[in-house]
Amino acid sequence: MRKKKNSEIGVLSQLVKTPSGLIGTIIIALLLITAIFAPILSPYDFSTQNISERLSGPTSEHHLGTDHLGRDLLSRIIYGTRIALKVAIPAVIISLFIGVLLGLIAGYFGGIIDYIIIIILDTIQSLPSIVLALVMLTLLGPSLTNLIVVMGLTLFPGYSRVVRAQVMSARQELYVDAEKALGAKPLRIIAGHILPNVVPAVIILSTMDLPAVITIEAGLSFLGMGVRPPSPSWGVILNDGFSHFRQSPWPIITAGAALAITTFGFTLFGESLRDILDPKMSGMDS
Amino acid sequence: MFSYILKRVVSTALVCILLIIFLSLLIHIVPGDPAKTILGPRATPELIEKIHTEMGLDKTPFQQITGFFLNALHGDLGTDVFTGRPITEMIMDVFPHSLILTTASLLLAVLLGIPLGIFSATHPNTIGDRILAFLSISFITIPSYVVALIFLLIFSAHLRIFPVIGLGSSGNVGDYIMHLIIPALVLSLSWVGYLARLVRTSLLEVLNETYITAERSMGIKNRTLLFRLALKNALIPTVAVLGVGLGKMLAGTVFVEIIFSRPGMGTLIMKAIQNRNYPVVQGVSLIIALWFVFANLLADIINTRLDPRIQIGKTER
Repeated sequence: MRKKKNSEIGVLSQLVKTPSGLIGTIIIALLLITAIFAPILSPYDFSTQNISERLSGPTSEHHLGTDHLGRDLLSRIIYGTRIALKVAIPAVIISLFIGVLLGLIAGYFGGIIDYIIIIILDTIQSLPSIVLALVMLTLLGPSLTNLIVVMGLTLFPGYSRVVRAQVMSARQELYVDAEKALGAKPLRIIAGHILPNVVPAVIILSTMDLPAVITIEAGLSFLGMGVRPPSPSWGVILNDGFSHFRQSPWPIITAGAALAITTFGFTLFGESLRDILDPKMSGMDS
Repeated sequence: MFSYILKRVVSTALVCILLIIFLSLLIHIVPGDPAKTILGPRATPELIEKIHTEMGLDKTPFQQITGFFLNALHGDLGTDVFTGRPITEMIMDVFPHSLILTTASLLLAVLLGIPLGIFSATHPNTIGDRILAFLSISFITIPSYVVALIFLLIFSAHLRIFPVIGLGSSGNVGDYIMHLIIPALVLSLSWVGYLARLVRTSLLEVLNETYITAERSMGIKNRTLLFRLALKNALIPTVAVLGVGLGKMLAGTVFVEIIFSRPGMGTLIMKAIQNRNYPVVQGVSLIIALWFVFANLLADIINTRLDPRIQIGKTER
């Protein structure tokens, strides 16, 4: 049996002992602080235009330069952190709910129900997530809410697969048979015995999904199908920079760096967490 | 083994059918009349009716699905309402460019990723290994469009060694290849990191197996061991990943093609999306998905032949 009750503090202290866990934790902490205190940290309003200072490089007034409308890039990047997390966290929660539910159903009942669910998962995953999201957003129209829903619907198969596999192996365990023999209802067995077993895997997967969602969100926004301007999504900033890349490299450099650091930090965090919570999963990459 | 392959083929066929149904239903999920959306202010009752007939919207949904399905089986994906061109023809025009880009990136990923992985595995926990581990994870996590934009900045604005925009002058193979290098490198980068890590892990695993230790104790040279015995086994998971990679990369071309203004599947679907040209969106996504499904199936079959242990773990499906 797994040794349980390693409290959150325990996991965190283990996490910061490895260099990659420490770097990941620091980056995520900084991101959260930036997102929460965005109004205090940003030197300007993210949408104030100043055409006379457009597309400037870093100066003493604008530490990261300005964009094509003379807006302060540092402030836009800081507010962009909010958008990245505002899309990624609810999207992961939605896919987690749908995914875990379907995975439990497939794994517990097996047979034809399982087969149907697996075929549906295969179908959804046969469309690469960026294409599936693009197609759905074409139909629904680009907006923050639609983006969150679409991303949730795109990514849930990953959770279903992990949960299904865990349920299938848990089903083989003797104690589940014993419960069944004692007349326990399926719901009770799932909630009482199977669900606790899948929690570590699901936590790991959702931490690993956050950078993926952030990448897709910024990508869709870059293509004009996600968060709409003037919202300072990093993808929107990249798109502005792409339209004016011959005049100034700074929008691309700053938004690109923000994205790279964020996805890097979340991935390091996720992988370190995986090594601690479930060493068996180390070989498995999503 | 054959029953496993048969099962995979059957579920692949089912996935394809569901996919076609899903994509042909798309038009009906659209709020409002697609003909009106396409025509915009130009909409007159006659034009709307014309488009309805052309897109088959005057038929029942069931007839439309079966129609799209049967036509798709014959390789006919419908007609583009804007230009009147067959969609299959439009796809065939640009598909080779995306395919060449994908293949070139995969080749680069193999040429760079596998040697890096071998180096890491043969020098575990050295400085070089640590640096490579850091680089690999950076390559994997940094979004491809960020890399593409940075390369665009470097090569088109400052360092003009490689041309990066467009396909090059038509008919000039050398120019085409020159224009291919940077986009292919961008697309391959995350797979370089991925392969380097994968090869490192699987090679280290094989090198620690008892039979390798036994061979070593019999005096067989390390180099021979590495290339004759260990590498062969360590590369099995790589083949599976490459199959998945071949499928996934076609979708990855979307960003690279748009940023470097290359014609291809990515630019085609993006233009169709911007014009709300649903039949083209439908056709292109179907091809991208089918490509992915078959690349996976192929990788699975090759893998089963290489490593018979696999099917035992998967017979549950």
